[in-house]
Amino acid sequence: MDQAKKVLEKIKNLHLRPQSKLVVRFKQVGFWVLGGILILLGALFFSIAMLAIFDVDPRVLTSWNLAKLLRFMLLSAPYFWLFLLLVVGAFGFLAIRKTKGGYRYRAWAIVTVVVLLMAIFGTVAHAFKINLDSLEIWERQAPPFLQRFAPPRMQMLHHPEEGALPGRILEFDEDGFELESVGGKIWKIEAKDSLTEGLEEEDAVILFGDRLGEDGFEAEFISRRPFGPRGGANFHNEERSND
Amino acid sequence: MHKEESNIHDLELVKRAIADPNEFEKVVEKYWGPLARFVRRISSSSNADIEDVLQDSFVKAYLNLNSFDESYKLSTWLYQIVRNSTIDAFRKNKSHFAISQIEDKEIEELFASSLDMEKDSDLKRDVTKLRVLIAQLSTKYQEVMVLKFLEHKSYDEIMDIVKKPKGTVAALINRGRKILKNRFEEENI
Repeated sequence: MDQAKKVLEKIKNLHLRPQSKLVVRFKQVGFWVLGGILILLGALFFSIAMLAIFDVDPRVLTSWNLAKLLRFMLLSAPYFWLFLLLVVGAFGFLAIRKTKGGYRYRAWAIVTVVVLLMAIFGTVAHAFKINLDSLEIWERQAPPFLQRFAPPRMQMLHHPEEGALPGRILEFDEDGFELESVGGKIWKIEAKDSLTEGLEEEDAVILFGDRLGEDGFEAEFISRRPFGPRGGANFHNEERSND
Repeated sequence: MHKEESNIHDLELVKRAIADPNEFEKVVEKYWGPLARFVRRISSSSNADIEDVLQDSFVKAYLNLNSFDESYKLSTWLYQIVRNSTIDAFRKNKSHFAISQIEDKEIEELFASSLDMEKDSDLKRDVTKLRVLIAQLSTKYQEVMVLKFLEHKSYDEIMDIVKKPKGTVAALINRGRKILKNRFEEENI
């Protein structure tokens, strides 16, 4: 058959040889490895984004109305991490789709598995505080131009006009205490004795309540948060990033 | 049994071709005809273009012999490569799937098997109209319907050739049949 001879001639003239088994195997495993890495990265971003939920005291659910809660969520949502989560999720999906036989599965089935795996591993990362450690590394080492897209947690939650004020307790007085917030601003806090019980100077807290004038705040409830060395955003970093 | 024997024979052919390129000639000889017919059925390419696409496809197949999965049929794997090469050629020539070169008897066969009809004289008489009806079908339906009703491939094989999930393939075939049936009735053929 002429055609067969022509194909063979072409193969011989170009000195072609079948791709080695090793390269083939590497390509086949490569997409699974890439998919796995992207899912783990996605899980990390998911767990970092989760912090935004855990930072907010659950008591807001009963004391704030839905509109206020939604406004606060929109203002303090971790958009940068959610964006990265979306990007690695999409590439993870494509990597799995590109694996040998990946086309056999429906898109929604792959998306479901990718989302579930990210959520499961993300929860594990949260349980082991891997998200806090990673955030701490990020806030210490990421270049400032990148940090602009992912402000420190304290800064993200800093919305006194919406009723949330994170900061560090400086000194107690008869009405409450003085608080240093993001950027070093000093606030005069009004809080009942029952709210300040157990709190100490230098404690990192988030106050939920109402703003009073320029630098006053009435605390409705106070949430103590681990903003220290294991908290992913200590004050020294805050100050550095705000300078 | 016959199919299994054929698969074993194909596997042997692949193994020999990996070791000795001369053996690849047998693979080309065995599959050139059916693949050329397939390309003709899904494209408006000239014979020379079809030959180019197939040469290109067989060279690709040779280069990737080690990635051939024994759980596939060799024919399915080659159809997959040829389909991709055909699409690449479409992109180069800015053309698309077109079953304009399909023969009259193939048109009848496509209609008869997809709409569960008898091949009768009426179909023969209206073959020009039928050709228009098929040409009006979206290419995504044309391709799977050619594979199913002219190439007589199973759903699993079509899934592997077009690289789409089995459910999607089944849905495309069903929708294609329905569209054809509706138009067939509307046109009162």
